[in-house]
Amino acid sequence: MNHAIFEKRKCAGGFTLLELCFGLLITAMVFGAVAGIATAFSKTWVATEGTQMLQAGSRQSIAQVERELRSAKFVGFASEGKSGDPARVVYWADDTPSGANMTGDGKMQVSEVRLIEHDASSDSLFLYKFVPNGSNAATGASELKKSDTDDATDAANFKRISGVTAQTLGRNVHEAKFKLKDAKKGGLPAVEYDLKYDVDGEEQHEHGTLTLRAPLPDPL
Amino acid sequence: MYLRKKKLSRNIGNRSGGFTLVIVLAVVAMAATLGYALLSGASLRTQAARNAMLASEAESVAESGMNLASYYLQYPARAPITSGSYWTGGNAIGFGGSTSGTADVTVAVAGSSGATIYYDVTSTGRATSGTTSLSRKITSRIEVNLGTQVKYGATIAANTTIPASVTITGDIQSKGTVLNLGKIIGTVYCSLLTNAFGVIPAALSGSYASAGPIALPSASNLKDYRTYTLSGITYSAVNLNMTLVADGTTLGATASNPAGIYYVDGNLEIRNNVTITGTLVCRNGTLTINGSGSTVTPATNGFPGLVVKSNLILKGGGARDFRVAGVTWLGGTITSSGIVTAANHLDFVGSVMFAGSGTVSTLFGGKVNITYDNTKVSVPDIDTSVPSPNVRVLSWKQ
Repeated sequence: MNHAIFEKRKCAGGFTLLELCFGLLITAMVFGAVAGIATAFSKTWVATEGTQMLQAGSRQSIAQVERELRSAKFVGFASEGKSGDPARVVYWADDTPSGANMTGDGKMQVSEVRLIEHDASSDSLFLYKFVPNGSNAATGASELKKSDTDDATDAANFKRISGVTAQTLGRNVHEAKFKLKDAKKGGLPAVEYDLKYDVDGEEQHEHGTLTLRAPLPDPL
Repeated sequence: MYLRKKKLSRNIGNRSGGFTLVIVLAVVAMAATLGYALLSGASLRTQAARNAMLASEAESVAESGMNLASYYLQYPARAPITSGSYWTGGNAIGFGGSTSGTADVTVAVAGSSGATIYYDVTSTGRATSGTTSLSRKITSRIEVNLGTQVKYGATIAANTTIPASVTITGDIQSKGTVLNLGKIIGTVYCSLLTNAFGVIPAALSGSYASAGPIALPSASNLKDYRTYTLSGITYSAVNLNMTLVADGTTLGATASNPAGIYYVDGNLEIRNNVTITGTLVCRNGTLTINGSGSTVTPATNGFPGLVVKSNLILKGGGARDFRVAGVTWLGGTITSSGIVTAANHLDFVGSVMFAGSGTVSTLFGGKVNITYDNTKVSVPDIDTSVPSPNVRVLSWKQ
């Protein structure tokens, strides 16, 4: 009889209320912990993604700015963008030698001039350059003097030339500054840049000096 | 009945174990997924950081390759040239230190204008870390002026006769005709070569024009060495203010005259065992060698050993010899006075520029030995009519 009772209790099995409560509590704790970790990972992921995006974007735009300015022949104007005037740099990008003309023509033409300008309203850095379209060759070949590229008005005028179009050089550029460092005796001219990137509150500050590798004497 | 209950009990027990297993598996799967995500993110960040570092290294190495090319184009004598007259580049060039990156450099002549040569240079920098490799390429056009390049044992401005007392080991370039009575071991580039009784391999004569521009400044284009620049600093040469350099005199480089350049405005006579480590310039007169054991050796690269605006005279009367190890520029000729025997000799190791109306007097009694040595002929700015040595980068694309 006793044996039968024992068997009956065993057959009823399951958990007591206390066991069940403990089981649920432990399960809840485990899942809570897992959920907490998952949430933390998710937040970190989002934050890291922002940082990575910021870094990749800044690296890409700085690489382009470096490429442009290192190859430049002459920098006419660079500004720090004070009091509503955007930060910008106007430069003679190229005087490419071709064929028998080993040294280029030594003249600064519209098609060889470029402008990098910061637009605070869109937090972007733009590159303005002349794009030939078949009917504006004469405009592109127009010669510019040093005095046509050495102040803010000249930069604004350059943007208005027919055929000059903008392409985005960098996004999320919250602040920008450019400063021309004239060549000291025996040295090369350089441009100092200071760019502040911002993505969803994540900030990155990039500062550097770009030395012109193949400068030419100032155009007349 | 008992057996049925027992079976039921087992089934209930099995179902309970399966549920636990499912929960455990779910937790493990979530943990594995999170772990994978964590590792993947970290790996991605590491890769991005590595790529940024490699890109920077590749760019720096490419620039180093470009700088190396500029250096070798400016100083071809220091380049590992295997053929031709300029460095054509190399592959997998390392730069030592902690930099593991290498550069592949190619150099090709784009053209020339007078003494100016244009080269197109491409430098590809490569940086590798594990299985990741990045490269950056820079192309550039470089303008090179080498200045005066001395390629011959003797360069001669006028028609000349090389007497029997002269032995020249090295090539000769002459603007005029050459009548050879001496011994020339090399090629003669001149308008007309006549080999009377001299020794010269006839097959080794060529036209003056085929030898390229002659490295021979005229008296009016000769650099005035009274002031000179060394490492960007301008110095003044020392005026000897004397007509006789006494026995055993030693002159050399000093802090205020690091190239050791000494000059006189008139005639000068050198006696026995005078040692000059630097340059001796006789601006408006002759130089007479009246003794033995005297030598002139430039103190530094880029300067000649001896500059004499008029004649170089070997004065007889016993043992007489003189040696210059560098470039010698003569506005006059080599002559002798008194009793000069075949035992007396003048030795020039490097190169001799005969800018006057002849070379060696046919009446010269001693021996003149000229031996070309390309390690002793660096005088890039001796001729003011030749553009100064420089390298200029005309274009740069990266």
